Amino acid sequence: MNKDYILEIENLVTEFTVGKRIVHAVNGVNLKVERSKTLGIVGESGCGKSVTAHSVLQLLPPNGRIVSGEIRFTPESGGETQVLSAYKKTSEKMRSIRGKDISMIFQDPMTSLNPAYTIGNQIMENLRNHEKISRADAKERIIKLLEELGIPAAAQRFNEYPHQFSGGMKQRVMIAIALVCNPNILIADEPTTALDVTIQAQILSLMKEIQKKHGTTLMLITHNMGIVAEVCDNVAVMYMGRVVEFGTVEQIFENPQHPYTKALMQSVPQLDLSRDVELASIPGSTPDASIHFDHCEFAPRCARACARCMEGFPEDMEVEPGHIVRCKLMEEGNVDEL
Amino acid sequence: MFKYFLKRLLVLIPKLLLISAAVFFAMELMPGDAVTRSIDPELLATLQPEQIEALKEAKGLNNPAYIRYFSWLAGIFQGDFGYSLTSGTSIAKLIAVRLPATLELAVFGLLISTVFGILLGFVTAIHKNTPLDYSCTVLGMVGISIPEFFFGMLFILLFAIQLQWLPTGGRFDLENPTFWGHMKHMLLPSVSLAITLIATLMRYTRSCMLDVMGKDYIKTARAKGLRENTVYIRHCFRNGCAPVMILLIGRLSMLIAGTTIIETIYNYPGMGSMFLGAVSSSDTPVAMMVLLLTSATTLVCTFLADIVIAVLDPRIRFGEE
Amino acid sequence: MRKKSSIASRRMQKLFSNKLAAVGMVVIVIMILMCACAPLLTSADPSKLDTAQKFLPPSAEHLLGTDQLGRDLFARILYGGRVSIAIGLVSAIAANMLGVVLGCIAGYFGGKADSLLLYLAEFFSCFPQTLVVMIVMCFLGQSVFWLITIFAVTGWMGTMRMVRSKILSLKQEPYVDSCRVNGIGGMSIMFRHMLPNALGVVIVNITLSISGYVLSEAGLSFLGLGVSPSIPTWGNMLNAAKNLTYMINNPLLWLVPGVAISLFVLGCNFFGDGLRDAMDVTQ
Repeated sequence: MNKDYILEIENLVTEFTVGKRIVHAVNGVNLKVERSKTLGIVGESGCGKSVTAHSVLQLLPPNGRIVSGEIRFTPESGGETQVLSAYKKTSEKMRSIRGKDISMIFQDPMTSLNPAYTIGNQIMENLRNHEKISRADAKERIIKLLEELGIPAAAQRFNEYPHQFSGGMKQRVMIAIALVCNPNILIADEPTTALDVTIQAQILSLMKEIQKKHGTTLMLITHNMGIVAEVCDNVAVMYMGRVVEFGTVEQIFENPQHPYTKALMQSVPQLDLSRDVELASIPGSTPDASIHFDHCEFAPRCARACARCMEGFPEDMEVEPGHIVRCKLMEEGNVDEL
Repeated sequence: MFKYFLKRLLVLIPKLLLISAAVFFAMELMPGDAVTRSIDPELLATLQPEQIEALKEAKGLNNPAYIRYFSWLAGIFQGDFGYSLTSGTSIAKLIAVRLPATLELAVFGLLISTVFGILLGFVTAIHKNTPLDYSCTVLGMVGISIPEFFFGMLFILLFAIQLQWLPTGGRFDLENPTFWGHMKHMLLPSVSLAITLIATLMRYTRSCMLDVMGKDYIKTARAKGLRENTVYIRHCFRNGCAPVMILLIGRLSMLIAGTTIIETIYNYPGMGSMFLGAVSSSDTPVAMMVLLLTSATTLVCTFLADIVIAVLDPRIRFGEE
Repeated sequence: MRKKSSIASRRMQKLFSNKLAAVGMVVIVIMILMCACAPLLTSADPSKLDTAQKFLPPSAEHLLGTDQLGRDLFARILYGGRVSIAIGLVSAIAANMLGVVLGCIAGYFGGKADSLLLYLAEFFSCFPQTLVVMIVMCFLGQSVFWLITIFAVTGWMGTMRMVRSKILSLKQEPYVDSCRVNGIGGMSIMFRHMLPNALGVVIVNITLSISGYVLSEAGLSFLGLGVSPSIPTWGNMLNAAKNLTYMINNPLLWLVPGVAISLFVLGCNFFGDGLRDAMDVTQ
């Protein structure tokens, strides 16, 4: 039961000021990320999965801030724990972690690379920011990494500009920037959403390969359940800024408990589904994030909601070892009946 | 890159011809005849009417206008700008005396405004929507709205007359011919010249920086753990500075005669006051030659701007080949 | 139609929630009203010379005192404002109209007309406006009519480029195709269906160019090359007062017109800036 967690997020609340309104994008998230495993965070757009990831590195825009909660980072097994949420956004400590211990790749590789510099220059920037290494050595190491990441003629492409690369190749360059300092955690924020389907598969298998080889912990943010099933070890399902269900990929896929997770599963098209079975869709849409609830946020859209669901927040319940569900119905303890 | 460069350079030639032709034919239409304009008046005074006629023939002044245009153009390339109608001096000589003064003033003004304008734009963009940003925005608007001669008059009244720190005008101080004595004369004119440009540059820099700050690659740069200043300078400004550079290059034509009003207020002996004098005394050749020089500079500036854009943006630099 | 009015009202809302723009508008409206109602505000004749009354300090009779020729300063500011503002307004409208028409032609017809007009615009932009205006004013004589004409002829290029690119992008919109399919003629499409969509930028541009032309007029008159000195304008008043002795002994002579110009231009700029922001509401 005493697992080795590299990253623990406890009661994280992140809010944004939009005009005069305050929007709670993340509203008390609890997450534990196991070392050298892959955690998938899924949910509809606007559920706070991306903000959670950005909060870890404090890469929030100027109008966003962490209000409360704690993010604990343990770089080495059994080693010292750092509280990331206690650091200031632009502090030396925070900056020394970004790109070095924890790196991040973003959704759109087309716009995530600076068009004015060669890709070699941009990878080198991260490497030389964190390690004392000569330009020549750095270049050698980067070219090796690029080759490893499947970029042909890496030595030549080192001096090319982003506009000379295709989307998939740009994402490989982004991965190279993220990996060049051998980080402990790689956070990938919808890394394949903007890519062609064939390229998506390549990038995913590349990331899996890297993880196996270097033992990197991977946090994969996606809304694609297929990717989760294929790549992840653990899954967190988020809704309205909260984690509603957490478990291993088997637990979530074979034995989903939260009504929202169940609905998500049913909305995924499957090959063995007969053609006349209609895909389930979740009625309604995600409510405005600036609305404050005093009960389960999913209740208004939930097919199984009852009077109790409108009275106060549900608690996190461990329905089986490592499988946590946040739902009033679980509190009764009659899991299987549902 | 070389091909792009060459192409831009070649486009320049017909435009230069067009501009010079416009200036030449405008000069033809205006009062004053070609003889006084193009022959040294000292020589002219010693000649008999027949000799003048012979000289006209020899210089090709009886030829049709388009032929005279080309010989006029050839003359310009050899430094023969013609003669002033009022003083009879060669225009090349006049310019040689006046241009350094204006260059000095304009370069100084441009330097001040570039440094302060870009710096302020930077600071206001980084501290967007703070009291500092608001007050700079309002002050910038005030700087753009108050005419430069009004600033000039206020400065003279305050610094030259009330406080007596600085001279009211002129370029050199005969009693104090040192560098600092010289700078004292430069300070008020160049600051009055710079104010509008500081405000404009600040607004440009601010909006360009803000445009870039929202881009994804700025987040990538932050995700590398770079210092904030590195992010702003290496990533924000590097990508957003093109319009600012173009604005600055556009103002380079100010170096020739963009300082007329300031030179008038401060009695500064530069191209601007020479131009004003020429215009008020109907000295067409001088006025038109200043116009030609300024227009040609403007044109060269557009070429420079193209080059700077290409240097800044690898997509253009490599796209054209 | 309902949609349009809602966009318009949102723009108005945004414009008036911008305090600077509102202040700017109030300033220009007050100044224009004061100049327009000049005869009601003062009974003095702005051009009446009275050497016995020169350099009078402000008093009940002469609110701002009198100038070196004994003319009432307050009256001159009001009547001078009429001319200065009128020059700015008419020049801005004329230059922008020229730009709109040429921009529409270039954008709508494209091809040769477009490249010719673009080349022409580039050619005109090569000549520095102030120098050209100074030369021309000198040879055509200093009249309000010529000043406005020259301002318009040398000031249309920016608007033309803006309208052209706006029309070019509007041409890609499906509604223009549907107009064509429905048999609406080219002129009608351009002026009735496309131009109204480009009008926002033109209005912003007019507001901002008014301030530019008021400044230009002031600068030219200050140098003695603008409107003939017998007509009171803000610039001419400054020109008459730029002499060092007046600057020291009678600061009101130049401070008052200087402040008037600055206030009016500032108002125009704030209002125009707010207007530009408000036009972005559609996005």
